[in-house]
Amino acid sequence: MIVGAGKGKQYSNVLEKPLSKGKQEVSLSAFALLFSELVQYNQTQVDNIAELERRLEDAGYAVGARVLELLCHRDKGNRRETRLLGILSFVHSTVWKVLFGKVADSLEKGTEHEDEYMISEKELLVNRFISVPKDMGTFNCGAFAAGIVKGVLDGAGFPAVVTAHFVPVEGQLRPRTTILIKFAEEVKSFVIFFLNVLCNLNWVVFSHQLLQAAVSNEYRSSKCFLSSNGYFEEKRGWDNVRLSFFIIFLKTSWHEERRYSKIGTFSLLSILTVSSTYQLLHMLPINFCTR
Amino acid sequence: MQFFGGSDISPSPPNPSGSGNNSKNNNSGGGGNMMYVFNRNGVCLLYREWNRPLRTLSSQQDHKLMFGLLFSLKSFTAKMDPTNVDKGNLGVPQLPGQGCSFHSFKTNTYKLTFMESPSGIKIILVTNPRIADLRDSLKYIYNLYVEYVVKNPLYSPGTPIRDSFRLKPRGVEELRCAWRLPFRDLLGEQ
Amino acid sequence: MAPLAPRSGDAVFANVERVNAELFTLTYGAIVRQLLTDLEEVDEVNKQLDLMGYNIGIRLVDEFLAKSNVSRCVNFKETAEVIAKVGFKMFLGVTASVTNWDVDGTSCSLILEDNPLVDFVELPDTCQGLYYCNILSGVIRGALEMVSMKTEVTWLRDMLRGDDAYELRLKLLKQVPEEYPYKDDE
Repeated sequence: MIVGAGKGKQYSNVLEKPLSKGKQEVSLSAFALLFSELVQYNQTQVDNIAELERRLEDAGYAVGARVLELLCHRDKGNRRETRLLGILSFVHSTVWKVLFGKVADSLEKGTEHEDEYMISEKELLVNRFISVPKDMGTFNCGAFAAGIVKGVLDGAGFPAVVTAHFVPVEGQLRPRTTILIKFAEEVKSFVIFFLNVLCNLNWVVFSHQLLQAAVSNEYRSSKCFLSSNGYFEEKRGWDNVRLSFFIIFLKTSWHEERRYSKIGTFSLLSILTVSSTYQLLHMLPINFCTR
Repeated sequence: MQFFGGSDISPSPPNPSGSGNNSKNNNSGGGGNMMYVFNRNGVCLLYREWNRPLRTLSSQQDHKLMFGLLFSLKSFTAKMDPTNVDKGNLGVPQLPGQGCSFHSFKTNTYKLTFMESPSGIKIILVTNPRIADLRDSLKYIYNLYVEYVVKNPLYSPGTPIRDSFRLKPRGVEELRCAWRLPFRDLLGEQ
Repeated sequence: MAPLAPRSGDAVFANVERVNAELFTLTYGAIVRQLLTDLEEVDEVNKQLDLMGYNIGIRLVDEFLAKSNVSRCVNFKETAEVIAKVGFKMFLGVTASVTNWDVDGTSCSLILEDNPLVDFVELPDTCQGLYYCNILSGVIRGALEMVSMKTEVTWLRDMLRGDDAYELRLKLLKQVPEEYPYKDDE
């Protein structure tokens, strides 16, 4: 008897298989039980809560990194966000919707620190069935979701420290889960952003947009300015950082635009060399390697 | 007042319209005396009591005795089944689901209601003898067990259910509204 | 009377809460990846996946019983059908077919055409011995053990290894009656 003819088609390699549209579903309990086992297994591999959370974060990271690739390829025509707020809202809405079936409850900017953002969820999917015994301290399964967020952000070129916390809600027995995102120091440097742009988009098209954007009102109204020698002085605020980059880009490539009109990754290296007064060059190989 | 009275109990939490009576009901003990949950290996996963003035045994002996009572009773009731040919031998254990099964018995002082899932989870409620059919309530408790115990990533199957939580199960609120009776501490409510 | 076992899990699946299969697939991938890093040997990973499946199975059975309205199965044949039609559907949203019964009715094949675990997966050269979906066999073994059936579940065909379907061989070893768990020492 021949069974399996028809639907179960064979592909000689995974790339030939058409990418699923992402509409297929499994039951929540199947996921809950799988996730439980992930937690149970990792409990046997660690001797403290911090380590357990780190391992869950690792597992989540693997998911996040793949989700980013998948969604950028399938839903965004191979483009991905290059702006900080863009990527944050991508996580908060697109990623959340695909993975957890809904947009996250809120995305807020930290009040105390400029570079902190919070995604909050009243009942995070992975915390849905959890009850934490007293002896497990502050353990939070949300570390898995934090890992996913970290995976997405890292993959998009915005390295961050991401942690999950329970935050009590007044009048509610169960706390909500807040995912705290603290961007790494180097996100502020233009190199990351620069490379981000470079690895992400068709350069010719982008350079044109970039020039337009840089002279648009949006940025002109910003408080940032350049001192005569080209160092940017106003450092506060993300937009300013972005602006600084634009201006540096302008300065370094303005007169060389013709030469680099078909710029590729390699020739961009020389642009950066031009701007070596900013001492960015030493960071370059590291960042290229991680691409 | 009867907590388990009449149509008030159903497998889905009833509308908590009467929860205004909460304070009145909290201390009276109501119709419930004890509840046990056993797994197939005879481990008592959960024991709760609300009204048990007389206790002579250690809890370990008590659990063993209760489990033994059910075990033999099941075997006896199946053996006496007048409608079934396949009765097995008395004392020889049956496969779960095999033969008939009892669901409650009554004495002049208490009533015991019993449910067993094919996976061997046994839920026992000991209550006031005047109480109506509780099988739906047991099914409801089984569903709670599945939802809040089985799927809790931090629960290791086969171990007694913890009753002190830093983060309480999601069901506590639901339970408190639904049952407004001694069951409020079912899942670790203080 | 016990309610009749539903013939298909469609209705149950439609009524339970669901999540995107990609979250499930990628999470499973992350687990396998973690095991490969932790254990290094592919054989060890196969064993661990089976064990994790078993652990899931002993939990999953209660979820299955509580939600599916299946109360008991007359024999192993019906059990296998229920797993294929109701169990797989209810949890993974796919169905399997049951074929190739032996004469005693104690072993059969479950054939899966659609398998949400393997989306995006290709076995690298270093992992050719890996039974990527080994967790499934463990789940079935664990769940059946909780309803007193000791079984052996093995993979016969695996599309990741170049076969044309996923085929699990299910063999009933024995039915274990529930035993009185305490030793008579007091």
